[in-house]
Amino acid sequence: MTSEARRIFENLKLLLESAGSSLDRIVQVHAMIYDRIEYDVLNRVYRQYVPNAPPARTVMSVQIEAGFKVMLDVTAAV
Amino acid sequence: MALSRQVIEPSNPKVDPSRKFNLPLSPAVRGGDFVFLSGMAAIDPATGERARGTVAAETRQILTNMGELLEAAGSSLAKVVKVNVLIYSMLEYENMNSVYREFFPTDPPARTVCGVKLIGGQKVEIECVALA
Repeated sequence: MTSEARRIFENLKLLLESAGSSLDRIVQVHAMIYDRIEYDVLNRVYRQYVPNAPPARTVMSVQIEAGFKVMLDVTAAV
Repeated sequence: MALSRQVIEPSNPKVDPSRKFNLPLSPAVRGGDFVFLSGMAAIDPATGERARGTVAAETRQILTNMGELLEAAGSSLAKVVKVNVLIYSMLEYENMNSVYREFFPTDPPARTVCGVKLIGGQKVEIECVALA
């Protein structure tokens, strides 16, 4: 969970920056996790990447394709 | 030109779970001409505690709090364009709908409803995007 979340944020950072945005321009996140028992684990990584004025967020526990443990759906301002 | 991004503080800080439970989220963020709300669980505005109840009661409390949060952001329920409703069991779909209809009687927003496992043990969680 921790390593997947870190990888997602690192990739997301590159993707947003290439689109003229950045992690601190995110306005909304849908975080999907495979089991709600991992909620605090997600939060620990999450805090490191959006430490201040975090985006609006909704977390839900769902079945994710291909066996992944976490998936983020993000909207950011340019 | 960069679009504005601004965190919105609720007028009643008791309904801000990010402060109460120290969560890494803002209740609402304005981005450009839209306001994005975090998923809201039913919170009693008087105490700040979770208002656990039936799906109908939780839906009513959430949408009441949502209206106030939107107004703090200079928006309103009438300006909501998209709603996502998360519900613990789709068997309760109509119980949610019957209350939902009262809050969006005409020209309701676009909406998606999903049956999911919710994090805090609540039965309903609702988020939305509205025009600022």
